[in-house]
Amino acid sequence: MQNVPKIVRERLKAVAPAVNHPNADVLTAFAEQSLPDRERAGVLDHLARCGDCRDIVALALPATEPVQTTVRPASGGWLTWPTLRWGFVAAGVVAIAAFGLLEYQQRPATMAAKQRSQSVEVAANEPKKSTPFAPISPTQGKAKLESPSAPAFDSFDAPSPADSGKKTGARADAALARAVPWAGPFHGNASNSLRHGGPSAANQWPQQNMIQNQAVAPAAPNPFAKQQAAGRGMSAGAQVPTVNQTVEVSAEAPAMATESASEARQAQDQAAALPSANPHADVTRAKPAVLGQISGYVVDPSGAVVPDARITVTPTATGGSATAVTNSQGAWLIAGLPTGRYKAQAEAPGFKTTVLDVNYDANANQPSMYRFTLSPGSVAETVEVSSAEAQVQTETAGVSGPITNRQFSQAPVSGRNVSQLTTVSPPRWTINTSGALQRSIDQGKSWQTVDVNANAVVGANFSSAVTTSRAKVKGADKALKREIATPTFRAVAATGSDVWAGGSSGALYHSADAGNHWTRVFPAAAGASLTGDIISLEFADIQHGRASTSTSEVWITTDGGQTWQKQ
Amino acid sequence: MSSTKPISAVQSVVNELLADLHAKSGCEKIGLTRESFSVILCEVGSKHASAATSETEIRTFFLSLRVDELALARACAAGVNSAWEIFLTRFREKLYLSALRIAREDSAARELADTLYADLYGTNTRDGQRVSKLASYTGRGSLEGWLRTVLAQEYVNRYRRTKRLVSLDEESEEGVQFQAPDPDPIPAADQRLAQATDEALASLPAEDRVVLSAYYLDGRTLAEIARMLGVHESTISRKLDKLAKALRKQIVAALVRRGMSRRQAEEALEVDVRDLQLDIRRSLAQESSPPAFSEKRVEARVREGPG
Repeated sequence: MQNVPKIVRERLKAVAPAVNHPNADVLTAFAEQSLPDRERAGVLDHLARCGDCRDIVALALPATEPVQTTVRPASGGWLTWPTLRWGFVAAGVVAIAAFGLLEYQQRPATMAAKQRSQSVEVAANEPKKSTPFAPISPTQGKAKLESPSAPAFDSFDAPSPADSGKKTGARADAALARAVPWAGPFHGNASNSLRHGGPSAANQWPQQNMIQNQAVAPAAPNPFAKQQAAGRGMSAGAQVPTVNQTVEVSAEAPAMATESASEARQAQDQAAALPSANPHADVTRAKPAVLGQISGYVVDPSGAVVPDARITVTPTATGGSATAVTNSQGAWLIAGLPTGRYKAQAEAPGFKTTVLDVNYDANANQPSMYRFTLSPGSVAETVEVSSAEAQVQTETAGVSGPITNRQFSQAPVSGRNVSQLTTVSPPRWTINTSGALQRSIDQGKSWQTVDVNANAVVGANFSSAVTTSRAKVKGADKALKREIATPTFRAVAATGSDVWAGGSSGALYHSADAGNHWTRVFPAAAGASLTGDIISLEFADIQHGRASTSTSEVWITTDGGQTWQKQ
Repeated sequence: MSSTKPISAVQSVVNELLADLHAKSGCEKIGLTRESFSVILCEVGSKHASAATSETEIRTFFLSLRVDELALARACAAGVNSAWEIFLTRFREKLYLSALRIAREDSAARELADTLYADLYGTNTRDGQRVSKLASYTGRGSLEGWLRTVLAQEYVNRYRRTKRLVSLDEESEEGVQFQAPDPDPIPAADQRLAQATDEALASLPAEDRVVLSAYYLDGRTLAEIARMLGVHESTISRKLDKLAKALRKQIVAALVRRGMSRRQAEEALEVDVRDLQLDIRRSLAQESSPPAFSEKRVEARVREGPG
């Protein structure tokens, strides 16, 4: 298309300011073509000068309303040849493809069909290239349509399965042209209809295509046709033809088959527009897809927020899940949720994972707020494996709870996981008769065995890192590998969350987080290392400790186990 | 201005058609009495009709109204709960979907729809009376279309940062006039061109100018323009083509009338285009400012021109 000179654009912009913007009613009536002419002219005049109102009209257009050509026939009205050809080519391609597919599905032919096909008139002479659709003559209940000899069909050499004699002509092609975007149910039926056109096709295709009143069309388009008709506000609504029962295609023979000529024309006109039109119309109906959001807070029992807690929302019906992480204020939000039931789970290191059943209604127009109160973790159930290098967990900042930082920043626990210190009552420790290390977090009511090797990290924390740097690293590794089996413990000492457990063959384990993570420690000094069975451990506080072995060795540490001296 | 004449004429037509309209509206089911419906019809008619409106025009007007949707809207505005439920069932979803189409982005769409929803429901009060935007619906267009239009208005007002002062309340339906800033004085050589172009444009019917503006200024697609005007897409395409050619001819002719030779005129049309100092900022400040991205496009074009 030729461009207008830029000066034109310029001067179009430099128009007199628009006054008296039409109100919403008038604009709507304008867009729906229901303004009387005089008023419409006035609105047009305003629109020529007012870009905002133009924008409003454009924005307010319905989803994909097909053009209402009945109201304002396009100049010429008839389908321009190139578009028709396209439609036919497309239809032909689909027809050819579908024909073979369905050919033997409906072999049984009825004589009536054959007779009907023979009675079809040949109107080869009429040079109606520009009027592809002749008006339907209801006399015989058949609609005769003619199509110009679309070249695409000359090669359509269909074997003639005798059949119930449904013939499809241009209309069916149009139907197919329309059908193309929708495949699916449409496809099969369209093919049916086309296939029925087979017998006549061989004879008469080049000259004309016949369509009968009973021409079937897919059920699918009919609702569309109806929707379109309703949407377009066309008075010539979808006419459901009487279906010939001999063809067991859906009775919802589309209006397409029997539409009036003008409607047929429009349908073809919109062959290009339709693919976008109808699916939208359908979508608008079929998928409400109202989405909402839920949000909330995560707090601990004292009411302080828990940042970096992970919220996982899983629909109970379907799979998939959405996650969120609470920010520094402990707030979280998950958007884009359709109505339904969900399982919302909040978890944070050091806390019990809490699950909530949510029945969310996106239509309620209220963001739903949920508050998770996490109680201090049942660490026995959620075992976390921390990476070797990072005592700092990058994923969830277990140490970053504001309350914990504030309270324990002064504590000499640098480098250690302090989240456990928020635990109100530190767990109790014991060794059972079999030498297993046990812990109770409910003041002794129940005891759980703790596996120190569950997250065994060699040389992970500072103490053992330092130790291994002193001791031979390789030796330490080998020692650990030998000790993969849980050692038999003989002694345990705990100071708050700082726990030491010692057992046979010098197995010495330390945990700074009340037993969530354990580190194997190898006391060694001046070439000697602790290898005897540890039979007692005494720690006055976190820093100062004493280990006695069965070989009467006493080892002392004054730096929380980083270095040991043999007494 | 005598306002009694239109009202009485309107009143008489209303009385005449009331039975018919009332039946069509089904307002009783929605909870609107016949009397109040009659009052509503009179109000709507009076707003529309002027002293000059003939009785036949008034009658046509009333018969073209969508009285059933009018009744529903007014019943909702009056606070009838059953009407409101019907409204919600029918339109709530569409409201959000339309907002999504307009705003194209989820959070803005929700905000847009929520705001409108609140306005429709009547969360604002004036003089202690609940005010609902639905009271300004008069039934000239479909209610669904009206909702979309109102959404679009709200969107344009809010998100396009225009200086438009149109309030969406019923009482200020008429817009407020505001001045577009005057363009800088164009150099003398260009004035003939500008004048000639103005002349050519002025001779065009309004619809053609709408099509030109929508396509070249607003950047609308052919399909959109066609739907806006209720014609076929190919009509718009052909029209634009014809217009481009015709304008060129007309501008050249107008320039010749103003003393240029034909060759000069044609040159002026071509050359001047590229030399034009397009003041993007200025044109953006006008009411019909092109959307953000087209600014870049125009700039790019301008820069490419001389190249």
